[in-house]
Amino acid sequence: MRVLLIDDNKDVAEMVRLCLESQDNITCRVIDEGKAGLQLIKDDTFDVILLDLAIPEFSGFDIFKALREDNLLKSKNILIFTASSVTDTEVQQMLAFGAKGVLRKPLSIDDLIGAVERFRQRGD
Amino acid sequence: MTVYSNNTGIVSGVTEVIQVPYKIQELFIKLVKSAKEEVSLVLPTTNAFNREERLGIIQMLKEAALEHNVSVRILTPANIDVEKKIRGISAPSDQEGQSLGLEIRPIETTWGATITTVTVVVVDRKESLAMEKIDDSKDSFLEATGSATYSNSQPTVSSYLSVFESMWQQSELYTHVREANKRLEYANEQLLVTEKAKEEFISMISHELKTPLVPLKGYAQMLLRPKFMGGAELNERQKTAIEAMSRNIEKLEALIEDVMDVYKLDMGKLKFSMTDTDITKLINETISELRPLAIARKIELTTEIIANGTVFCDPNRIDQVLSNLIKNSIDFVPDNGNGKINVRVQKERGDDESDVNLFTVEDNGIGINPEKADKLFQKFYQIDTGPARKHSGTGLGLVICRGIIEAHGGKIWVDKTYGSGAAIKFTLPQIKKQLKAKEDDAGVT
Repeated sequence: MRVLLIDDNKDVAEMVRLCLESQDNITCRVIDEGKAGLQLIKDDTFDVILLDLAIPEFSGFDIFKALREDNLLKSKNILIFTASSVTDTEVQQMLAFGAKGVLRKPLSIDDLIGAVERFRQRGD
Repeated sequence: MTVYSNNTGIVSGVTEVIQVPYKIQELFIKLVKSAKEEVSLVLPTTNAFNREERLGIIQMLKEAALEHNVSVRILTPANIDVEKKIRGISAPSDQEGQSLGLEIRPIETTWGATITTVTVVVVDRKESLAMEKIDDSKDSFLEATGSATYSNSQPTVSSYLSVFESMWQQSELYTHVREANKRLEYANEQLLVTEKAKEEFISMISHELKTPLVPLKGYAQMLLRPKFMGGAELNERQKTAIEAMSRNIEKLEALIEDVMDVYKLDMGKLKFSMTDTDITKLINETISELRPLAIARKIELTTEIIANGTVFCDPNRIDQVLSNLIKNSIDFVPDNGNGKINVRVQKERGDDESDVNLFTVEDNGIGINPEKADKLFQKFYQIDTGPARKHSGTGLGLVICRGIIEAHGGKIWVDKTYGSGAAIKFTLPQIKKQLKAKEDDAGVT
């Protein structure tokens, strides 16, 4: 299965990539910049997209908003991946808008893998 | 004695009703032109202002003020159109922006209902003309005006003047109130900006503290599993080292969570998602989370739910409080099979006679020194238990508990009368109380 991670922290991104790619049949592409990330979400198909919110300039929030405006949120498997203090209400709102889940950093590798594996389709 | 007024030729001491609009208009202009010292004018509606402006009255008054030093005061409803015109009229101004000789103040149309239905002019404190409107919608003075009462009788003129003075003062007051309101609005806006900045700051700090933990935690866990490390097994020393790293990362993570909670409490930014919550369900969920830990330490963990039903609270935050208290107890009761912890909820009558839910977490541990009991709820205070200390908390847990309970309108304390062991009690009001802390209303749009 194909995973896209949009996160500007290189150490975080590399850890997540190594962790996920240690699983069977997972490839993880990393993008560290918001605008390019948004373009890739639109142009390509991924089984899961891990979206960090606090990316400088064009942030994860901006990507989230842009996808919402283009009605793409529901068709893409977006998992919010954030270390910011997100309130329960904000989480509920993001889920209502079509995010498939919110992962709070730091998280255990089992939780990370579990969240991603949920989207594995038969035959992957 | 018959005295003729210099201005109008009408006998002084006379009050006269004039029915012909044309004559009223003539008299109005004549009066304004005759002013030597002061003119006080009430234009009760915006339309009246516009009619008088078209008639040239406003221009005449401006010239009187600028060229003959006549003090002109006009009261007319505050309105954007009028204000624009007034700015034109009031010019030229001196350096401080004070208009010279001509001052216009706003009146509330609801004030002085009787006087503000008529246009009133008082000239030089000697003559007055009150002009009644018959149709305010008409553009021309002649069509709009019905009858008028002219007077140069001192009592009549004085009474118009005193009404004018009182409205003039009121208007000043009104202007002050309006300015004060504007300042308040501005201050309020600034406050909102500050509150938003606080929230962004908290979010940023949280992000900056937690982000470094992400690779630390992830890699520490991965190192312990050969699967993630290309199949390489660790030797015992490496394993011990990485397990210690892993444990300490967990501790640091908990500490950051606690510090952030205390920080948010201090800033009044700890958010609560309030909902009617089933008490039994709430307690059972907390207990089932902690039961494995209790079993591991051979501790008997029991509940006594005497007050069932619902309570209006943030269930996650109350779980946090209960969990914290129970974990404290777990750390302080014997782990030789004799340790006991009981969680009880009962209905009680509170200080203000309303119903409260009284929660008690009691244990048969080492107990709490009554002298130190109150300090427990202060920041970074932890009862020193010497070398036998097993307690792993940050010293912030009870501070956070107090913050959460007080935000719910409840109280938390150590029951000093409790026998062997410790009992911490807290209350949650049954009725919905005004929350001290803000409810979670932040939005993502």
